[in-house]
Amino acid sequence: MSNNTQGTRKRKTVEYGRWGYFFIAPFFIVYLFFQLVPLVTTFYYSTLKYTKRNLIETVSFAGIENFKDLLGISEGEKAYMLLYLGNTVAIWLINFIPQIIISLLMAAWLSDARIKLRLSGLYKCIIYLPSLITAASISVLFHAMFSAQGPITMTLKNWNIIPDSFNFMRSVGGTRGIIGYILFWMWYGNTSLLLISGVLGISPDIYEAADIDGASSTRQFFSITLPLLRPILMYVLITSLIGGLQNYDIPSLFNVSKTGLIGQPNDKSTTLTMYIMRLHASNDGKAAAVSVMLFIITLIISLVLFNGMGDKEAKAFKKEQKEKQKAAKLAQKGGM
Amino acid sequence: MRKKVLGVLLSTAMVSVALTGCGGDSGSSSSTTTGGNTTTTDTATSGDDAGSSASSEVENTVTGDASAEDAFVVWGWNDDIKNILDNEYKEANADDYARIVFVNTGGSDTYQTKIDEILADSSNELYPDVMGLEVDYVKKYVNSPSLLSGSDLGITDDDTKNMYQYNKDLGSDADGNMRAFFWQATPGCFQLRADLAKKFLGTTDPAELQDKYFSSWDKIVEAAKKVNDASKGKCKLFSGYTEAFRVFSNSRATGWYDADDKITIDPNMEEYMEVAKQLYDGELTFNTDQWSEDWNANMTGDGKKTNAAIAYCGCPWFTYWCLNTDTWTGQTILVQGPQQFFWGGTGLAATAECSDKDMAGRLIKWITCNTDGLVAINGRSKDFVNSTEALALIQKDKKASASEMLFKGAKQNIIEFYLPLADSIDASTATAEDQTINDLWASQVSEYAAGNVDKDAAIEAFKASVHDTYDYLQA
Repeated sequence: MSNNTQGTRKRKTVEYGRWGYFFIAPFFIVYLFFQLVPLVTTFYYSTLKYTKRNLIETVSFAGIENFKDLLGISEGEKAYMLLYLGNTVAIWLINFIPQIIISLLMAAWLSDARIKLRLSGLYKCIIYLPSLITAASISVLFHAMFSAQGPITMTLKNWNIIPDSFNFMRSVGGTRGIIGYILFWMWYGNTSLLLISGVLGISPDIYEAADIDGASSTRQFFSITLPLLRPILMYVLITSLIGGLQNYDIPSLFNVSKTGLIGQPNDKSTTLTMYIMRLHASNDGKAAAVSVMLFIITLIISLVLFNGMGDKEAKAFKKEQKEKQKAAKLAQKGGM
Repeated sequence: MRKKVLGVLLSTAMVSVALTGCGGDSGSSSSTTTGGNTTTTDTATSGDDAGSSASSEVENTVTGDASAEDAFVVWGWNDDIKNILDNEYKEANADDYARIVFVNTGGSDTYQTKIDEILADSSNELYPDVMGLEVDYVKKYVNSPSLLSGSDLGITDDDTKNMYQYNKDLGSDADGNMRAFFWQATPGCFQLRADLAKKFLGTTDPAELQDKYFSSWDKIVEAAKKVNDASKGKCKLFSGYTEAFRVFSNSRATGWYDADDKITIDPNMEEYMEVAKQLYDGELTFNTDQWSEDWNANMTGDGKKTNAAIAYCGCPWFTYWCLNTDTWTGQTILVQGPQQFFWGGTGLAATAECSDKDMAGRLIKWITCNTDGLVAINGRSKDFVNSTEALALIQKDKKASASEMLFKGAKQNIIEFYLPLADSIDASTATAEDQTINDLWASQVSEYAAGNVDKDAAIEAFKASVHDTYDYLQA
């Protein structure tokens, strides 16, 4: 009898907690089968060599051959991967540097209590809009506008801003610049909103105190806003970098050779993910190896950023605390 | 610390996977009704997370009801085959025609990707029963296990006896079994616009044009200079130097690689590089690529206010397929050029898992071997059909062999012009990988032409990129 009541009581208390697990289960099941398993099998595939010829495919074990080929260590292999990594990073930098500067400026202006910009809500909407359009359509549109006889190219030539022989599609800077600009234009609104929410999260008291102390808004921006934004900036940097390393749809549709695999001109706008797709057509093993390398690169960069950009003051404070404790212990020992 | 590392590891994994997922979404299917029973769907339904390749952005246009019990699916990268089915084939084979579902992939560049995907999926209702194959990759499919041979389809040597030998070779596998069948022969030439030729080259006489301006590459470059100077750059001889590519590549002695899979560069291709550079350096073309928008735009310009090109690299199908603009109709002059070459051609082939071999055999036979059918095809499009017998019949009929596309003053006749050119076509240099390799070559030539790299570096980079794409081919 007493056993029985205990049993029911126990069940009643446990039941609530169980629902939580049920509700989060779908995500973990989907994640496990559709994301984690493919992720792990990619490592396995990267050790295989696929040869596809005339639709007949043979698979053999290759060990680390794929990686050696990619890095150009094996004889007769060119290190395309490093070349494309360079392209990818260059395009990302062209996009990110102006993006973070403009976004910070936007964030500062749109959240400044003293300026009280009118219609700031509308403006936030407008700058966010580009990221709602499919990247593919934007890419094709920009290509049409900047092609050799496209309207923008022609206008710039008529105004003598660029020389008559200039062709964006044949210039490395032109092509990378436009791809970078598209990325910048699409994402600066999103970044601005993130930074605005970060700025709004900073207590107004601090700004008020700074005002009373007579700090200029520039001073306030550099001494209050920037340091306190660091966690958000960090988030923006890491997500943008990961997205940038996986940059695919815009360059793959912008200025590519006919079969869509080589970023013109001179292979200088081919990104790593475009290379993965190109290899996917001929050798899945090598494609997997590039994916693995990309994963490792992303991991390393993220780790470095996490460690390097962590809260330095907090770290220093912790260190100080520890030293104090040590000193206290020593003092105690000495006292004894 | 370990916890922190694990946290970073997991979050990186998640973010990276999530981002890849985002990319994949854009390639998933969408459908729109474009009137009648035409629906547009995307075939990139594979679980590939990178499925949003450029290839899957172009949607397939499906005409007909693929879910019907007796649906017979035909694939092509444009409507060239469909036009034959809808017109001549329909008239002669109404019952068979009613069963046909046509899939247009919307572009040759991405055709292989789509075809390879669907060939691996024989239970798909859009699995092709018959498909079109272009010369640049027909060899890949005829040497694969995916196609039926002529003997499976009931097409005999007697049926194909009127075909040009080069087309038969292209359609045959390594053992000589014919698996792809061509309805057209494709001798190449240059096609000139009469009004612009008159204005800037001073004549519309084909013999004079050939002799004075098109008999050697030196003369062609001279002609390009003349046109450029006379028009102050508004009109050029060629839209881009790539007009010369097929002339050189399809008259080579050796293909892109030899029997030992070693990558080879034919002297023709080196000469092409030089011609490209001369045309580029002198700003003698608009530097367009074939099939680009600007390339198309130069067909409709007037050479005064808008840019225009006088000559295009062409062949019989080019006239009715590309130059059917107002500016070119009744203005086209055919000129042979410095060397004999061919360009393109479409083979029809039945797939290994074809749902109705009899019908596949009937269809291919009617389009490619039936003399009456071929004469009818020519009647509509003025195509140069792949049958010496049909061509002889067409030639006899003065009305049938006239074309409203051609410039009357030049007094040319399509069949008479092409007949001698077609006899000596040699397509033995075609390889299974031509489409991709041509593309890799084009990238390097444009770098060389622009002066970014020297010749040896360009060739070396080309070989490296071919090897990187097809690692069984050695530099």
